[in-house]
Amino acid sequence: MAELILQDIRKSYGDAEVLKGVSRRIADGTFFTLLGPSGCGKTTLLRIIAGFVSPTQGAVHFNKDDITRVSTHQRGVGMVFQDYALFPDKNVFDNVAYGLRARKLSSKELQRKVPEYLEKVGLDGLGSRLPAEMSGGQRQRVALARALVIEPRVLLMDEPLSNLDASLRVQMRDVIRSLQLETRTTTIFVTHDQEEALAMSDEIAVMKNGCIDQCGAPADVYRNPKTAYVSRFVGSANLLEAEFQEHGLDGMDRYLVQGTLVSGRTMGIAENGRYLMVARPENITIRKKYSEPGNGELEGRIASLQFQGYRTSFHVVLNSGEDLHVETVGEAATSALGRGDNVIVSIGEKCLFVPEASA
Amino acid sequence: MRYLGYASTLTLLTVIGGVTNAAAGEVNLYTSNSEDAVALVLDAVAEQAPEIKINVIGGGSGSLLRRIEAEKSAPVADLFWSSGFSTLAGFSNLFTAYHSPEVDSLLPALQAESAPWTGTNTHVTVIMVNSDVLDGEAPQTWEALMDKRWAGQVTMADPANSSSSYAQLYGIYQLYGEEGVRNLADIVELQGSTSGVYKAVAQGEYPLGMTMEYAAQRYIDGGQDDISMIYPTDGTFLSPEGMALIKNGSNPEEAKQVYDLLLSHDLQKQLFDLTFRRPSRADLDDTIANSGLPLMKDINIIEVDEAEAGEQRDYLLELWADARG
Amino acid sequence: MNRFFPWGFLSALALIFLAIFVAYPIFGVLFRSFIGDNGTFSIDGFETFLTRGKYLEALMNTVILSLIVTLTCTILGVFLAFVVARYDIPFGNIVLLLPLSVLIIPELISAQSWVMVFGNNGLVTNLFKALGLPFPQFYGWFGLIYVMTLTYYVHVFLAALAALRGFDHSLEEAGQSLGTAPLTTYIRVVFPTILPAVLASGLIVFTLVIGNFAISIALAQRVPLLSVMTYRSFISELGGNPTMQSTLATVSILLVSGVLFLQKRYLSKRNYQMVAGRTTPRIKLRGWKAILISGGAGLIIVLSLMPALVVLMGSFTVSRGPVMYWGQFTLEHYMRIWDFNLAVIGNSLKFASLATGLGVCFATLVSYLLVKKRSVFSPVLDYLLLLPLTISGTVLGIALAQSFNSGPIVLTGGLLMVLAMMVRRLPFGVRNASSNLHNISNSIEEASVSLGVPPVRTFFNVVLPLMAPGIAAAAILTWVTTVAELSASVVIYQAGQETLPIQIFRLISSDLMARASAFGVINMIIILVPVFFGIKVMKVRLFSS
Repeated sequence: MAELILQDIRKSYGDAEVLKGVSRRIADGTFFTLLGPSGCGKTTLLRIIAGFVSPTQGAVHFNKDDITRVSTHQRGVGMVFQDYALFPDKNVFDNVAYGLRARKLSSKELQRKVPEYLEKVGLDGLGSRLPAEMSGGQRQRVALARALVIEPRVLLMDEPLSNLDASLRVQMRDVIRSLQLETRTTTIFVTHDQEEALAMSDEIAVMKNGCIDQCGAPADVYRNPKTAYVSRFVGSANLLEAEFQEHGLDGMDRYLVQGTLVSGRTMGIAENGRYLMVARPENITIRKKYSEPGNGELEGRIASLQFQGYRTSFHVVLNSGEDLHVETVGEAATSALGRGDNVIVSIGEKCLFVPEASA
Repeated sequence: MRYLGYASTLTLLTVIGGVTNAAAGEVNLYTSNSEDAVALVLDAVAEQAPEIKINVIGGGSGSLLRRIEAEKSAPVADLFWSSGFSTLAGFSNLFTAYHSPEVDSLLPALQAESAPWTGTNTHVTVIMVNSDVLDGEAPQTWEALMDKRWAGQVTMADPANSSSSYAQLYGIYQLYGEEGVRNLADIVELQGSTSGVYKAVAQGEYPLGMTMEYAAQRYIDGGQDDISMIYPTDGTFLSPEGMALIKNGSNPEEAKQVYDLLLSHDLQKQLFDLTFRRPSRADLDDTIANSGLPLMKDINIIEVDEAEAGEQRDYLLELWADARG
Repeated sequence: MNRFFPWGFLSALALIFLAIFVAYPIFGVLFRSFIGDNGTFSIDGFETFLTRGKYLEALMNTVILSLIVTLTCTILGVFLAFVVARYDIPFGNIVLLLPLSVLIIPELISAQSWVMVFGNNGLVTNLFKALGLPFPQFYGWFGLIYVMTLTYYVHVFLAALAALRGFDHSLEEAGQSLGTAPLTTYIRVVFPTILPAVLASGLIVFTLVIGNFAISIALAQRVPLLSVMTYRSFISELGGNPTMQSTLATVSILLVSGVLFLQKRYLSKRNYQMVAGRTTPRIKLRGWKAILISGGAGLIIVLSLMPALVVLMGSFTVSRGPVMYWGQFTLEHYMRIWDFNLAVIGNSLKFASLATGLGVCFATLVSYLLVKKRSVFSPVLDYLLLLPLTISGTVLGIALAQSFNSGPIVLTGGLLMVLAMMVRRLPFGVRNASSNLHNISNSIEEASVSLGVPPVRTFFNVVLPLMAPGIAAAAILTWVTTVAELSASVVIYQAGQETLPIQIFRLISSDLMARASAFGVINMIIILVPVFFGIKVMKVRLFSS
């Protein structure tokens, strides 16, 4: 159990700067997710914490210990890999016991701890199976048990769910999160899947090009993205150019968007005065056009729609030519809408305005 | 852990290949003779000098001599048996002279009194014939052999590689001079090794070959009827071979006993019966007669001055190369 | 975190080892071919080579022989592969024995056995004589081509078979749907795509013939050959001519390197990758075609396996001196070995075990370093590992002897022999050992390290067990080749260090075929036992690469 401190971590490979100064303090017991597309540096950062990669600059601390120069096998981390990395020639018991044996635990203690953790991951009784005889989900559970049984100071997970099929993935999210909460292990979780990040994390760090763009609790990052990038990466967002008009008295600002006035909160100052409106699909309402658009409303046509049961997804092409993605829940208001209909979309006050340069 | 493994292996390795010096009562015998010949020697020693144990190191005479030379600062060998006199001459600084009491019973040419070795046997150069592939009458003299009609049908070993073959060449040179050398060069085809000659004739590749008596006799005695040999009446040559005591060996006294044994009547008789190499002793005529081979006195032997032969080597080999073109 | 220890350090060590025992000798030979008799720079050696007829003749014969044998091997190998891949022949399973037979029957024994059959005192020859029929001369071109073909065709056979088996049947069906008859389709569509594999193996055969020692020296009586000449220049009784040795060795190196270069340049580019597909189903043959084709294939298989039988028979055959009495049997030759020659067997076992043990350890380490722990040393290691491929055993033996008989490091015959055997086999050993490595993901090692096991122990705990099949194959193949090794050891050995092949060689030189056969049988048994054990008991797959 440890607090993890990253101090100005930089990593370059030749001329390429993969990490450009990442600093963060991660409290003990936090489920901390590094979220970003491939190439953003999240895996490199994880491997630096693990000790497989040395930072070009900067330091990593577990509690008070500076472990930047400490070899991996002495750091006391537990790691779960995307391809499970189970030892194929050893059975489940021996896989899980591996780290304990390295710590010279007695046979009796092994007999106690290994089954305990196998039970935690729901694999009790399967100790004598070989990895080849198990499904993907089962293997990942073994990997999890193996990493947790040694009670690591920090648990590191490198896209562990990417190789599993969809339904299994959802199930495993639960398994992992429950275990983490139970053992209260500080966990660093790397993924490119924002759903996973939102579902499991205490804190999410959205990364781009070697930097953390925004860090915060899932709800916070979702509702208050500071940049257009974050808004698109966590959840989906419609972005339209916006021109600042005036500050509102209620903390809401007014902007001109495609000829109509829209109110919303501003996240940050745009130095060049250019802003983008961020409107989430579920915050936009859509109705058939009976009248001309008013404030905060835009006109367009339904290019296509997808009925998904509990929700419907609309692809609207505005008169200006821009695309808008709208999501509605429930049937009533929108069941009458069809392809090609002229519609009015209404941007509510839940939209945000971000500096354009941040896209 | 691994480094320990490497270190111990390295130590192990340095132990291989080394034969240690003979303890007292032992003799390290370096010999190029076949195992059954050596077995006869071992039996004889077991019978007549049972307190001596012989350690046998076998090999080609060339490689054995080179090894003795390599070991000269700390000699391992006690006794070397055997190689041609001319070859021994090149290594004479490695040997120490010993006048065995048996020397007086040896043929004069084999006594080698002034040299640090003693003759154990001698080869006689013959023309080996394979009648199966022979077209016409076999030549009875060297002169007849060098007739153009035999071009491509006679084989001999490359004199640059083989001491016995060089001796043959030198003999021809002595008999027929430069012209003889050229004539020979015109008709003969070379084998890379000494053994290649008798094998080639035995296999019927050539009807005629210049080789040594014992080699042909092996086939004749073995029962290959198409093989026979001719002792050229215009004179043939001996190729004496001998043994030598190694200088500064650890057990000279025991080695001398073995030395004497190798020159003894019974052992030389047994060796002749086995290998058909003419013994160096002069008193084995009955044995030789029994084998079907002619007695030495009935063969026309041309004396060859070994020292001369050695000195002329470079010149003669160049002449030969030139004649071969 | 120390980035250099332990893997960088070990890489450096491996590099130094190879530099000393592979690069230094080989470059030494190349270098010495430019030093004249008086110790200064001269191209006398090459001048002699080019002007004295016999050398050029040897070179020419070698090249011609290589071309002919490559051709015959290709024809034979492709034919057999075609038959085995396409038709369901009765003894199809025995075909799997073929690569093994080449392994187990050393070349020398193969040559020896054919001499016993077709040589002047040979079984068949005598039979013909008894019937009053002439039999052609076996020594020389006939024997060389015959025995080398039967020895080397397996390389082409294996390559062609693998290519044919990997061929996607759908392509054939596509061809047929476009209007060509099945056999024509097969020839027009299939053969061109297996051509690169066949050509590659053909080139291997070419280089093997150039460097061949055992068969050449047994059979090439009248035909001067480069490899034999190189050997003789080193061995000659009255001391070798160092310049000519080096010159001849250099010519040999250049020839083989040239061929390998050609192969890399023009062939590796043309390897057609078959996207995984269905293999062609096999056709059952009927009627006269069946008999003809099965007969032909059967004959080839029998001829490949025959040497073992012949040698076995010969070892029990009565002989008086060099003359063999086929039909009369004796145990005498074996008794003799028991009485006099156990040391020879001991030598073979000793040297081969050491060479195999050391070689496999080294190969395992180096393959791991090259696949998993690449460093700045890796490209040089790769290159140094290729060097042993460019030289024949004879040249390597000469190189090692010249380099280490005197000078800064002096090594004795036994140690040098173990080294020679080890070095020759290294490239293959590394290839075998690393065959599994690519399938072992890096994350497995990282998992072990993250769980608290330091890197070196991780290698032993996790990686080594998974490499085991490849290592076992490397061990067996190394054992087989070192026990049968002749061309390098015959140049290096000191008196008293004769191995089985050297002893056989000397006996063959003295034309004592029956005795040589007894040694030959023992040699084959020593080879066979671990192979059998490995395949049957440990289920090692020797030819997966």
